[in-house]
Amino acid sequence: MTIVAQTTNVSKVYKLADTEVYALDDVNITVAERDFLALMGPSGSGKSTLLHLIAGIDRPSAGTCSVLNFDLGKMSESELAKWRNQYVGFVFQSFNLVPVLSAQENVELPLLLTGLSSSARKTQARTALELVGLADRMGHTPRQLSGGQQQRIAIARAIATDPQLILCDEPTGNLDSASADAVLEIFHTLNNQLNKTIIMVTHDPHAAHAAKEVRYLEKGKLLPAGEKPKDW
Amino acid sequence: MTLMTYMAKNALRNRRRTALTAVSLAISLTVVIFLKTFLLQLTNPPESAKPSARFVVRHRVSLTMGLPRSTEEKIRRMEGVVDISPMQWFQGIYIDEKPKNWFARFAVDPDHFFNVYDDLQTNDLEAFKKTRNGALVGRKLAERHGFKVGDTIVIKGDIFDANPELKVVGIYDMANGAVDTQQMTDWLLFQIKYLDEMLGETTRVSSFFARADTPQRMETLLPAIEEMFRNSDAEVKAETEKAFQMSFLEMMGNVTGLINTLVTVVLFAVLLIAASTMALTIKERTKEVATLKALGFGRGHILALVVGEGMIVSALGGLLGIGGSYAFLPKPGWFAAFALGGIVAIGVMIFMMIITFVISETSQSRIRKIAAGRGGTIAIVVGLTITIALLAVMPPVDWMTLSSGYVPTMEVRKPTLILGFIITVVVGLLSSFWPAFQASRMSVLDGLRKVD
Repeated sequence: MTIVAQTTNVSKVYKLADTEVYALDDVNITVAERDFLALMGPSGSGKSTLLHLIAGIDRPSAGTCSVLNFDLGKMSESELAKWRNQYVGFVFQSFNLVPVLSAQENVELPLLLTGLSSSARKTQARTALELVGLADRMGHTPRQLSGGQQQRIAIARAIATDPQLILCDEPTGNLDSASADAVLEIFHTLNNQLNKTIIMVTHDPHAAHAAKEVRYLEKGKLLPAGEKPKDW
Repeated sequence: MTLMTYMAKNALRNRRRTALTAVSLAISLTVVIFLKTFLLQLTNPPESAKPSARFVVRHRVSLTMGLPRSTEEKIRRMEGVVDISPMQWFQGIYIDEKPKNWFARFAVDPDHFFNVYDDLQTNDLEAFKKTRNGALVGRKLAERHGFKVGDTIVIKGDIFDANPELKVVGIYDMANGAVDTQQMTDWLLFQIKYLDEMLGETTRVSSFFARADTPQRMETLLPAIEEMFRNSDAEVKAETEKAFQMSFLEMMGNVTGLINTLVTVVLFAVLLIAASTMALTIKERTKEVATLKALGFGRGHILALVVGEGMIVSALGGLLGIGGSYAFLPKPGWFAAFALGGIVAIGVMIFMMIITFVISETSQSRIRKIAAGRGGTIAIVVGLTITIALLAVMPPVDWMTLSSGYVPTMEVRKPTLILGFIITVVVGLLSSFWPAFQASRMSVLDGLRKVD
């Protein structure tokens, strides 16, 4: 089993006045290659914090975070940025597309940092858009697209650099059920056919059902596999 | 798409805001270029003239206290003096006191004047010498008033009790290769003997212009001339032509200081406008910047993107301000027409914005729809219409006439263009650097948490 992401005794503590709030408390988790993991839990349970640590956009207060054989704690800001561009795709709840760019240009954004030629970037963006079924919407701006289509463009942007790991933060949170299904179907294809490892934070049991494995967090602690929070 | 395309699209994202910022910079640059060109025109002949061996001798106390004519011969005999000519400012009135009929008139000695002014040339010197009331006119003046050989020009005296009736005997030009930095070809010259004759006495003259054999000679020659006349009844001041011309500017007070202060104030104001616009623009895009960082854009990329965007907005303003000034400033009619058209367009645009803000967005008001959707287009059309109408009805004018001869031309010169370019770059850099720096340092998480 090839390990893609592993956290070891990871904690994240926020100081509020004199009190310390544990967003994450001694979390150990291992994600293997081709896993499709859903992280669930009530609001404030620490699932998004864990995702941010794995993405290298936040740093733990204690413990280590190793992703794709990189010890993120030892990397500088600029190294992390380059690393994210090369190895990680990110899908947000509210799509976060650039409104003045067309669908194709939005997908090309992370490719601008790769050193590819203009024509190679276009080809790669088109391939990503074809994969999410929106090749015919390349010239459309986000405003001209539905929420579901925008999220599919965001997924195309996340996979444009062909990353090994895709991180999703509530990817179906702003979508109707039909659009959510279409998005989950794409994740399924990415995981099963293209061997991408996916970690998805979600509140939606339907979305979690699409994952191969579901893990729950409660009050900053990762519950044992198969265990749910009380009242969940 | 390239990073440059992305920057350009960002710069044009809020077109109205970008247009207003660019126009603010363009107006400020136009003001700066106008003031600097004006200053350069006032000071340039003295400041930029090639090393000249010409010098001026006048009364030590004031120009209005004339010097006896005997001064001329004493100076001519000194070692290093090539030649010397009296040069009496006549002033007077030609036709009427309207600015368009104003030009410089000097009474000179035709036997010596062109030796002193060796950068001027004429084929009609003999006719000038032989004709008691003859006048030589500069090429530019002749063209401006249509003067030709044989014409009679009557000047009504005001300083002097004399009304010379002058007969044009010839035209003079700049000598080959010489540059007319002092508008010398806009003068009228007549014989000082004729002035003496009309006044019935050998008049004292306000100044003698002379030429030394080398520019270096003046270092010793000028003090020697002053020394020669010390303790006489008419002590003299001998100075280079450049120093003489600068003394006129000093009479107007610290014009240079005043203009430079104005320029600084204008630049500071536009810098604040541009900086606050950029800060607002980037603040609105906090989440987008955070997304870019999450996608792998580093601090350097963010810094470059924001500064690049600021530079694009600044370049638009610069192009408009520098290009417009260069094209239209030399033509005051055009300049006024475009300036007025521009001001009206800005007024209309502000009016449209007020309508947009005053009438609620939810209202179905047609006026609001037009103001919000077509406000910019309407403003441009109205501004252009006014410009074209003004160009059609405005009589032809030039700076020489408008400024009563103080500013012969307002051609924007290379140093002013370079200054405009530097201002454009500096405003672009300074206005965007701080927002760019803050954006580059912003935490990805803080940015992503921002609610749209």
